[in-house]
Amino acid sequence: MTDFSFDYQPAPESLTLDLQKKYGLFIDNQMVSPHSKQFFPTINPANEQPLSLISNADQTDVDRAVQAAAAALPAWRALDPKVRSQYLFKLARLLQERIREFAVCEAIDGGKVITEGRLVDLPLAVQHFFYHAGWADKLQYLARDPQPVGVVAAVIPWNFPTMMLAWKIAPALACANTIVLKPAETTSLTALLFSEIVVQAGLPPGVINIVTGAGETGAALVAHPLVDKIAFTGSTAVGKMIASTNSSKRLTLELGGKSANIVFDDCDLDQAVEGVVDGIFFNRGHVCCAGSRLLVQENIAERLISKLKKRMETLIVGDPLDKNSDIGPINSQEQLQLIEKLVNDSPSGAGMYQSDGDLPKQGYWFKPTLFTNAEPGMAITEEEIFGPVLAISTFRTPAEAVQLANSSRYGLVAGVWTNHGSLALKVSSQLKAGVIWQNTYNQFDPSSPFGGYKESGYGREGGRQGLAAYFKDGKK
Amino acid sequence: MMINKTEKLFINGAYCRSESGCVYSSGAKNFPLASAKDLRNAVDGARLAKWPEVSPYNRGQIIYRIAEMLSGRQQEFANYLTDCKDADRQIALCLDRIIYLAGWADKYQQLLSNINPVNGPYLSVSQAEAIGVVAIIADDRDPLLSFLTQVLTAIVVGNTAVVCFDKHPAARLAFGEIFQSADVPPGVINLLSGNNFKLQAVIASHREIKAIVGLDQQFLGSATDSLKRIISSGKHHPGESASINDLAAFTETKTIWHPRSY
Amino acid sequence: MMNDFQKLLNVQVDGVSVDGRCRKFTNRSIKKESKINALEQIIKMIDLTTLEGDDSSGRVARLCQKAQEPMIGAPPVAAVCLYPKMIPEAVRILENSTVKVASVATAFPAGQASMDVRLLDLEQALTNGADEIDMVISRGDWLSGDEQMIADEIAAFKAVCGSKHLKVILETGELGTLTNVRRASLTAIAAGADFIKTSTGKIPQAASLATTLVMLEAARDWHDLSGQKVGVKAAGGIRTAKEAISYLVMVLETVGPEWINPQLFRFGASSLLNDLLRQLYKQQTGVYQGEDYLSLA
Repeated sequence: MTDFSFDYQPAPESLTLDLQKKYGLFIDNQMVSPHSKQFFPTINPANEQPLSLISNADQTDVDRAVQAAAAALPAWRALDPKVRSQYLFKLARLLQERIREFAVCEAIDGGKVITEGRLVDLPLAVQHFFYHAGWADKLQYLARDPQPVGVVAAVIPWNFPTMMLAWKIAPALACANTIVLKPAETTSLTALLFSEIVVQAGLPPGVINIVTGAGETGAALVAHPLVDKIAFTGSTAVGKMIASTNSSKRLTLELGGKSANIVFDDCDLDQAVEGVVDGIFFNRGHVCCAGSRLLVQENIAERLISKLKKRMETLIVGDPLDKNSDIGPINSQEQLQLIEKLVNDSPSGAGMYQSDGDLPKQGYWFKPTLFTNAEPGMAITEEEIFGPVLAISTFRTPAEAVQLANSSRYGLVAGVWTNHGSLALKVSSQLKAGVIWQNTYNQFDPSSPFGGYKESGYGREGGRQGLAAYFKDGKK
Repeated sequence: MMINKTEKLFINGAYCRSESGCVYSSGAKNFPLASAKDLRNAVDGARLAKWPEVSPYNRGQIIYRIAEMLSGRQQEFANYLTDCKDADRQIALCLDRIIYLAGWADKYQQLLSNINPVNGPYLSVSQAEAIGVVAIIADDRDPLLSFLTQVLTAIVVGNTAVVCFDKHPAARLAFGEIFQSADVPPGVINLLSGNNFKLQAVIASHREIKAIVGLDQQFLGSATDSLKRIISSGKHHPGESASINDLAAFTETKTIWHPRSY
Repeated sequence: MMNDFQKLLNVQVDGVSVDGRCRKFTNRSIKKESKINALEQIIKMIDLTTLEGDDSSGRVARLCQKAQEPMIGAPPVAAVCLYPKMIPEAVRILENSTVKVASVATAFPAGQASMDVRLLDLEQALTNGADEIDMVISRGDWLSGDEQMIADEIAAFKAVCGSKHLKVILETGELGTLTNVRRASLTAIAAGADFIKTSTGKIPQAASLATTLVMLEAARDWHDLSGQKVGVKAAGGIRTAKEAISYLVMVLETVGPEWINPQLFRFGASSLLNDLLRQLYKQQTGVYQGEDYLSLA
């Protein structure tokens, strides 16, 4: 009997979006033209086609947005908290109704595969609004006299556009603040779509404002004198710049990582393989908490790597709008070049491995890659690559594993794989990481605080701890 | 010609007549007089209801949807409250209360549980869990707000409820329709109209019922047989407000230890 | 000193992780030509089953006809699966057909009989002409710790079967945990099973993606260790074409395309067949079949 060849044919997402040719800035519930009259294109990274024109906000626009947020603050904070709560519930429900549309937008604007958008990102964003809605009228349990910090400036990255928007707007509004949000320049469309939801939910003008642009826009925003708090998620380099130039504003930073997945010999190997694969290839490795280092106990290293390679063969690199694609294109040419450079500069002894097959000619593509003999000290083991590239090293004892995992400037997350509960708990207590995933990876929940140690930033997002950044206690 | 709704009990997600075949009148209508057998069926429904497996987030969503469903039928429910001078305001307060309680579902645990700083290399966690089947003798100081507060406070932390009432049966039984359309799983909330006192005697001794709200003094003795948790609102009127302490009253605390070592 | 097989045997399985992997299989979108090919392939991998107290020659005749030609233009199934008493009739009808005749044996479904009785049951099934045997293990003994007994009984039954293909039913719904499913799978494989099978179909918990995945991983690990390929049969509870296609995706992504054939993977089913035919008809003609248009199995 001949082998049956099971070839998944393309299964394209059928919903198409009606995008505008050009988008303004969302200030005071209106779309307004940018002061400079300048726009820049946003590109589909799968095929390099332009999708729409995005406004480039300058100092004047930023000022206008921040003024709007400041002006809206007194009335917003004076509302009965249950009203703010009910607004947030509305935002949650309206976004929930449009999950598919937003997921398609994430796919074409940023290269995120449609299944991830629909099944992970968007539901989490919705849940974030839902969760924080319920806190708006219960802040008295967190402080004796909860008061907003004021105007929040939020700058978010291109890897989880809608989810990051939710992570900033939901807690800010729950604590009676107003906000000006700047999405990343390569992924502004979902924020602009979200402005429709803001209007539909009937939020008062000026409570949520969205300004688009690149680094300069963000810099102008975080430096504005009327901003009371900065919430930044992005690269460690930019985070440090903001920290160094800021003196008076409250600041939370959620930055990069080079997180370790630590696999002990007594775990279920198949389960660990799933965790490692999810850790580094989910969202093409464009994840601050990607498990970009694999520390594997030496006595199972060969077997684990062999299973990992086999599992990689089932990953499909393809058009993000194809429901069968597991890995989409790299978000931008710039990021692709960064990844290529780090990989090409790696020493030959590092053991580079990629599966067979061709990549599409158009678009920004990179194959899932392993380095089976990465050692501490190599750039691929120390620097954040922010792509689908895994650096593998071995260890022999738990103490050594902890030491290896901790020897990094970063400390965002760690994965611990073992069936021995006591070992998992002890190792977790020794790891310098803000989130520890035991026998799992990439678990997010709005009730569960997320954030890092060391140069991965400071402050937490989610849960009680995450709210703390957004209010102050009047009676202190 | 008016086609009047036949009033029925709401048990295990569906409307049914009383096993007793008996009715009592309230206003110009007849309402089922729930019997001990009806109570037994309701408790069975509450015991087996698929509520423990529903995540806190989903519980919140379901309770929020109760508000969505009531919101579309505000006028109708205001009309049920024939004795109330401020019926519209009462319904508006109900809506606010439902939404407030929905918002507790995925956060009460964060205030009620903690890690215990024990003197040894152990992780010791204490967390709030549901008690089980809770019987609620509805507070009659107002027609709907207290009733809703008691029921939703009980279920938001994971319990299932059997609710008994004598007064305001039209409005309260109609909430079964709201629960159905809000996707509340069958058996989570059961509604029994009829003579409270007769049922209270049975409730006090039924061993599957783990906690009771609003039990009359005279039955406290029989409730001690299975050491039921007696939850009282005390001086505090459930209609007025609901706080974390009210939720806590409907929970058990579980403490788990695990060593940390290699 | 633990050898490699012992290490495989001792693996602990995490249900949450398994469920996560299975969700990815169900998310695969199989359309158009790949769907038609998948539907036809699944039909060829079905063991069309009737194991009822009221089975009779009449019903068996009807089943065998359906097995040979489920619908005009559809391929025959892999096998029919029957009680030993029904085997002679099926063998007679299917004499010139590619459809195999599989018999349950060894005191199916509970296996709660003496070894003598179970051996006799098996011998009679073989004498009656069965090509394949689906046996049951003693779950109670296994759960109370007597693994050796299970290994011994499988070896004994396999010895009687000789070259006839032996499927070992684990009754995963009674084993309690996925770790146990994996352990039982490897025990059965090492003892001589040609196929490991999920369920008898006689208790509510039948095949699921999760249990079948664990069994496929056991088969894969055994293959990596020994070079030998053992088959997996998912029986009971798979009623729709959509579910069956997810199983096919799972087989492909876990053990590879060589397992997607009746030699190495089977679906034990009855109502699944008509749903496959309905989907096939829809793919080929664009029209949804009505229930009355399909012959009874």
